Amino acid sequence: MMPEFQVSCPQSLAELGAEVSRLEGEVLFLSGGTDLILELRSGQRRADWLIDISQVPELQYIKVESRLNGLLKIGSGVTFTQLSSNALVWENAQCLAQAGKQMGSTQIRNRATLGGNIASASPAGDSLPALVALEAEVTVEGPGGARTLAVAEMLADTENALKARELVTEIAVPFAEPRVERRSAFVKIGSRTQVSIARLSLAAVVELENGIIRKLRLAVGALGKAPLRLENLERDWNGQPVRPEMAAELAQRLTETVDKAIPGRQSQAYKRQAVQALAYDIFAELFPEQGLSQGGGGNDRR
Amino acid sequence: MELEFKVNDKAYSLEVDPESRLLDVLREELGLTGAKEGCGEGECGACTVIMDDLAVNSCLVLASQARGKEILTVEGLAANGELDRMQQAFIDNGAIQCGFCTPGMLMSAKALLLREPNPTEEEIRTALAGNLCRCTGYVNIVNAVKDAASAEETEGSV
Ligand SMILES: Cc1cc2nc3c(=O)[nH]c(=O)nc-3n(C[C@H](O)[C@H](O)[C@H](O)COP(=O)(O)OP(=O)(O)OC[C@H]3O[C@@H](n4cnc5c(N)ncnc54)[C@H](O)[C@@H]3O)c2cc1C
Ligand code: FES
Ligand code: FES
Repeated sequence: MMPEFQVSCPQSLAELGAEVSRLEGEVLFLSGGTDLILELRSGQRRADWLIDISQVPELQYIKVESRLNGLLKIGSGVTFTQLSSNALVWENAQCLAQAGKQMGSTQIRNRATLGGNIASASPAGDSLPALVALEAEVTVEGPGGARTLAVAEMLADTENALKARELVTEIAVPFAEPRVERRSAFVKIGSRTQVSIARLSLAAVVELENGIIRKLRLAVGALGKAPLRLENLERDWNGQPVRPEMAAELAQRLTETVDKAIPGRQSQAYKRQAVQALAYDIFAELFPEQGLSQGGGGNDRR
Repeated sequence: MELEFKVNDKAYSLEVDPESRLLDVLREELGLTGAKEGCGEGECGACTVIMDDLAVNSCLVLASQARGKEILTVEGLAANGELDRMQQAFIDNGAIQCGFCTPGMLMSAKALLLREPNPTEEEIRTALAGNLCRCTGYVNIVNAVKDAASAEETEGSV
């Protein structure tokens, strides 16, 4: 049996807001429950009140907005099943759809939400490298008002982190400029429950104009607390045409990143090997016309 | 707190503890002991039931989150006293040994056919990836699901 708490069940965003101001004590949001119910049962966390947000319709949508170059907007209550079966997500944020497709099991994906994944901010959170590589923004609403910030910022420091009673409402992925071709991919090895030694994920977003790289974003998951960007490589490849040799260079740079992030850790030897396979996989996914075969951990074999 | 929902086509209005999970209510309040508690952590799938047409781990759903929902458990498959096609296919294919995983497997397989009446082997394996079986080695289970799917197809086209 779990320690005692009360449950509030708002059926709209307005009711939810009223409950957030009304309820006293330790108040936590309950979405898919795939993290929180376990944490409550194990005694890792406690609450006086849970606000169940799983039946608030205003948090469940996926749509495209034409502001700026266009934006993909995703309500925080969208499940991973919805995310990975939605054509707008595959079209505009393929790496996020791929991350969603590979996370957990069918039963977990049917309940787990994108908002819960972001709020949990686990090092093994599969949506996080994809969102960071896509330069996604997150909107949160709390007693102090609403704020919108980059997902990377929210994960990076405690000052920007989600505060008590702050609700993640929306995730927005900006589109590339017109006439720029954007591609993205996500690959991973291991699952959340395997010891951390065997986990690693990689998301990449690349923008091309006439075969020239104009912008590149690479984020490695499960190496540190938050996804790690490969800023040096992103800069070095800017303005360059795509070449097959880049796969090996990517593998090399990623290995260096692992060495720097977890020097001397028990997992280092394994992860520096594994990350090379991921490098070849993601390169083959991003640039199929370069004719390289995958390294063994991609989206097609399991 | 009050919980109104439907289980196996029957409407219920129950008083439940806020801490109860859907699994607890099904087993302890309604006496539906088909769904099993294996790991209690979302790993084994023994507690799988169908909620609004989707397979879920009932050990990870708070009972109050099932308000207004339609739940289908393994008991609902043979509601009129006759085995469901999926159950018969499991028996015919030797897909059951100790049987602990079976109710969960059946519900995951059933949910797959609701969504995809003619699944590929890969789709079957993906749908069952969250259901562990320590006895059978999965091959017979996958065959059973294929059988049930083709039986359903034949029936549908008559
Ligand atoms: C068997 C199993 C396998 C898993 N596999 C994976 C995997 O492969 N990859 C992966 O990334 N994760 C995995 N997870 C972890 C988990 O499923 C995810 O982190 C999931 O996205 C959590 O979402 P949820 O809706 O279930 O969150 P909940 O459990 O409902 O909530 C999690 C936390 O976020 C808070 N919260 C939820 N929604 C909001 C919101 N909108 N605003 C503010 N706070 C909020 C809650 O208060 C709580 O602190 C797995 C879990 C299990 C049990
Ligand atoms: S008991 Fe629910 S998944 Fe194991
Ligand atoms: S038949 Fe024994 S666990 Fe599956």
